[in-house]
Amino acid sequence: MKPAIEELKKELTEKHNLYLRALADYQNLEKRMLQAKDKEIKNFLFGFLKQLIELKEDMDKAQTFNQDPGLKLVYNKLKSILNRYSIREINPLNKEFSPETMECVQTVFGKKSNLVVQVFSKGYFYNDELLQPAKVAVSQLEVIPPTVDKKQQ
Amino acid sequence: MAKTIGIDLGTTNSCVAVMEGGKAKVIPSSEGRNVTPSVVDPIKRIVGDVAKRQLIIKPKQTVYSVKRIVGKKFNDKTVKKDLEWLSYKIKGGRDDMAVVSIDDKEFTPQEISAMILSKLKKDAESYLGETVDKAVITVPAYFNDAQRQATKQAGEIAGLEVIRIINEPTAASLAYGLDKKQAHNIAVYDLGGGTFDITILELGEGVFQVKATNGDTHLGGDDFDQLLVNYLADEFKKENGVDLTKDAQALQRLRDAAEKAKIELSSTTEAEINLPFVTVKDNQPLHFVTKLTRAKMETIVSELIEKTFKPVEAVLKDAKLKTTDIQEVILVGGMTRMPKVIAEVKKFFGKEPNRTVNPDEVVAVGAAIQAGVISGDVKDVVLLDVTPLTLGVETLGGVMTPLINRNTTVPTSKAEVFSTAADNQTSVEIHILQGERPMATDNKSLGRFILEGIPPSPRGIPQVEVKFDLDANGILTVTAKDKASGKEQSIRITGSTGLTDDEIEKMKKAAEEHKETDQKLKELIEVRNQADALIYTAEKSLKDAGDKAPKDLVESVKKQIEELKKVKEKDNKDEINSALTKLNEELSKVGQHLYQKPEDQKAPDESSTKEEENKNDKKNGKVEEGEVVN
Repeated sequence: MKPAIEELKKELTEKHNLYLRALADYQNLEKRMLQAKDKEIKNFLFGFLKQLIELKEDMDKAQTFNQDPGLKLVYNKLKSILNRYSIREINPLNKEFSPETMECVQTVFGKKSNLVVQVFSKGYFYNDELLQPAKVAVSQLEVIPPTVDKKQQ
Repeated sequence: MAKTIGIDLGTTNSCVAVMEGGKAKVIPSSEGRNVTPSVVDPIKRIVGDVAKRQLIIKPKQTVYSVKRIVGKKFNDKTVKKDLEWLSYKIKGGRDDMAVVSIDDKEFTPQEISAMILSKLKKDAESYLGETVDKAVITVPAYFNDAQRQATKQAGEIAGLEVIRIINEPTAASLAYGLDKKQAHNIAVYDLGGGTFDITILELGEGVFQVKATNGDTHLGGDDFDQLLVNYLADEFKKENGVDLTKDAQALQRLRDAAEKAKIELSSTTEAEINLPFVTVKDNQPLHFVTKLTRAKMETIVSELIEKTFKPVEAVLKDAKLKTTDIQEVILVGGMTRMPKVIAEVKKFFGKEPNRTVNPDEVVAVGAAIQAGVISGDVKDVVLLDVTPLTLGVETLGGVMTPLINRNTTVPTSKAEVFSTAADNQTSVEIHILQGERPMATDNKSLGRFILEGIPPSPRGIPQVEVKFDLDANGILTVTAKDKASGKEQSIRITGSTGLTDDEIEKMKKAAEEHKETDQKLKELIEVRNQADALIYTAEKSLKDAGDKAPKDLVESVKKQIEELKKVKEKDNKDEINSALTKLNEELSKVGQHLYQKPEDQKAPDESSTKEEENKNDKKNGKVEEGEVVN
């Protein structure tokens, strides 16, 4: 009789552990669901903001050609919207290249090395998170032919 | 207990996944993406997106595609070929093995791969909140022993015990659960960012064996993008006489736009390229606006897609198989999202390829599953089943009323209260059904039993609770209990999930096909049931009112009742509905008439409360009418 009781005790402990595990799994799932929801909202927001930023970049370019005062008002309005949503812009022109916030698209010959000499599109932060790295041309003492294209040849 | 992660260490991108609650979950990188570029700056120890951003400015210090040289000798033919286009330096190291040389420092490909693995490990640890020290890593099917050994070493350098190296196509098959299916020959078509692989696997007694493998080491999504960029640049040149590829900024924007359009065209048939102020000509800004249709894109890249089928034909020849010998086809790699690729693969093999798992993540998912099986994670978790089809009972008019919906995780139980359909009904039949169709006869009958001994009472009054209890083994116990008498009857059905996968699929399909007609039929039955209930109420009201109601009104109600009885048997829902409304109007006149005579209040009051009760019951969904037997 005694071994049988021991056996049952052991089985009960096992089953209880399984139960606790299932409960824990469920609670963890709940937590993760909340996180997932936050992430989903953020993904959606980032996707939308990126498109808005693209529009802003287009408007930036338009400013160099078109000085229409009405359009300027629209441009300012767009900028203030981005501002209100904590979008911070970085213009790394004449700064040292840093891959943390910038993507090098082209290298050009220059007197100094590693300097951002042209900004193709600015970088954007949402609070402290990088939304989009700046796309830049960087100076080099020697010009390096672009590598990505080489593969295609 | 520490978890074992599954890693897809790719040529262009890598991905990591882990088993969680019995399911594989892809772990997002610290940059918030599900994949990490396999790019490393070994001097500064920068890995992933950040390293990729400096690739152009530091081409000699930034290492990419290191998988192409891992475990190979320096004088290997393929290394010599890769040497021509790789921007970083490769030389012969110890035993003439190929090593990466940066600023007089040497790095073995293992060390470089280890840096990628370290990052994936770190990302996994911060996601799981615990240390990770074991992993399953995938390699291409064509990797030889030296390459596999080197990959294992990379894992060890990264502080990971590599509990197994598995083939990428095998991992993909595991992700689709093909080890449990009857498939014998499996084709895995893997078109990624820079490489194309096709592998034929043979599955025997749960073991996957590579029968043949082939591919193109320099064919992938990047080539598709390049063709699109060329096409778009040509279009612009034709129109404006300006070569956008000569303008670095314009080229960059064009590249981004081409990739975006490519991705967009996987789900839409037309994409717009809209690049305002793309360049300047004679001090005038030029804009690039054009539409790219899916059809146009498909013609542009068709040669690349065709190119993949040469290796596919070769691999079948090597495996000595025909396309008809292949039972399952799996798509891997981001490029297999392109509808044209899917269509061509389908055409070639003559069957629908598996593509429900994200093709960028499928290999990592399979690796995680393998990791879970080896480390016992999979056993540890109680794997709960789901009911493949809806379970319910037949109710008035031959309608299937669901109790347990399909895809509900078992064990589960659900109870609902039903009532009788006729006055003085003393028994109800509980007919248990399985399936997705709204009408009882179209579903599978699992069993039936009769609950007797219900005390005689008007229809809708008895409360019969029907309880479905489905245990973890798929055994269904149905209990019916009359709340008034306490009489109880039950049945145990063991074969409730005993359908084959084929049968389940067939039933789901049938439900889908008949959705519209079924819905119409169900609506008709519902209206008919309403008509039945109203006829009953009307007749009862007339009886209760007796001679207190004016004769002409009684006659008109009777006429409407007859009318409703007549149309109710027809299949015209609208006709029944209009007759229903007419009778309702006449009936309310009876009510009004009786209310106007306060001295006679007792009788009408009774009838109207009953009606109310009936309505309320319906609203709460508590009482539904059961099947009439007697």
